[in-house]
Order: sequence, then structure tokens, then C-alpha cells
Amino acid sequence: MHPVIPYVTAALLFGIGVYGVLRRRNAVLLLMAV
Amino acid sequence: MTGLDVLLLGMGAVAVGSALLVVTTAHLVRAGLYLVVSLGAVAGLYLALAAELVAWVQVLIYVGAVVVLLLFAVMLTRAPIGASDDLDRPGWPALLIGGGAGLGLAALLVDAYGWSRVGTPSAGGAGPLGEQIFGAWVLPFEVVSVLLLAALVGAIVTSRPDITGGRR
Repeated sequence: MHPVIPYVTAALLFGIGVYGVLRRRNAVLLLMAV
Repeated sequence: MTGLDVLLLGMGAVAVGSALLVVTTAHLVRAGLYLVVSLGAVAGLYLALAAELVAWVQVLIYVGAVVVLLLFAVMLTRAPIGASDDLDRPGWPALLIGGGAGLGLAALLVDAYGWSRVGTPSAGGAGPLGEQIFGAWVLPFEVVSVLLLAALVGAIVTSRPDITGGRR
């Protein structure tokens, strides 16, 4: 197996989480992004 | 490209795609349901990587408990049920920082690992997991718990205008 596939997936999920935390104003959505 | 790689790619695409929908949808309840899909795909990734205990803990705690807690929070508060347009802040700074962090980390990892191969990992039960978490990885484990505490405090502060003095 190539270890880069799960690593890149994890990095992209982290970036999406950061985007969500900074973007959302609603508290429930903020915690979902975390 | 083995079958395992195809499986990892497919489930990774599902996880990333549904996570994108979680942070972009205008429906609060739909965001929770997309979160179920995303967390379930991550559980599938763990299962494909032979981390069985982590996979089932993910299903039980995240998909089972955390998402149900979020949906109860939506039901029991005056959260908007339909589509609403006041859930978001302006997007560009968040897009810049989030996209930069995600793509930068991804580029770093691609550069570090390339298209190298490793053997299929051995099955990870409770014993090896405990040894790893409370041995080599105990500091990141504690840092994550502090991160969750900070997220809790931050969510309270950002959602209560009476604490921030109405500066929104």
C-alpha cells in the first residue's frame, strides 16, 4: 500500500476543518467542523 | 496500485467530499447527516488500515454518540431547521487559511513520502493501541485534549454576543 493516500486524506480533512471553524458562525456547526 | 489503495482512495474521496458538504451546506440538520457520512468513511479507512478497534470506537463514539448529541442540540435549541443564510462569516480569509493549511500539509506529505510503498500493517487491537498512545504518542494525545477544551470555550464565546460585548 502507498502511505501517502491516507496521509493526504488526513491533511485535506484538517484543512476543511480549519476552513469550517473560521467560516461558521453557528456554534453547533463550529463544533461539527472541529 | 493494489485493491487496498483503490479502497483507500475511494473512501478518502467520500470522506473529503462529505466533509466539504458539512462546511458548505446551509442546512444545519443536513450538515449533521453529512458528518455521519464523513465519519463513517473515516471509520472505513481505519478498518482498511487494519485498525479494527479504532474503527469501531469511531463508529460507536463519533457516529453514535457525538452526532446524536449534535442533532439533539439542534432539536432542543432554537436552531434554524430549514435553510438559513446567517450561519456563515465572510469566506475569503477562511478559504485562504484552511485551503493553505490543507493543501500545504498535503504537499509536504506528498513530498516526504512520494509514491513509496510499505507493507500492509498488522492488525491493531487494544494492546498495541494502548502501548502506542500512552508510550510514544502521549504528548500529542494530551495536546488534542487541550485542543478540544479550547474548541469548547471558543464555541461558547463566539456564539454568545453578550460575552463578546456585541462586537460582531
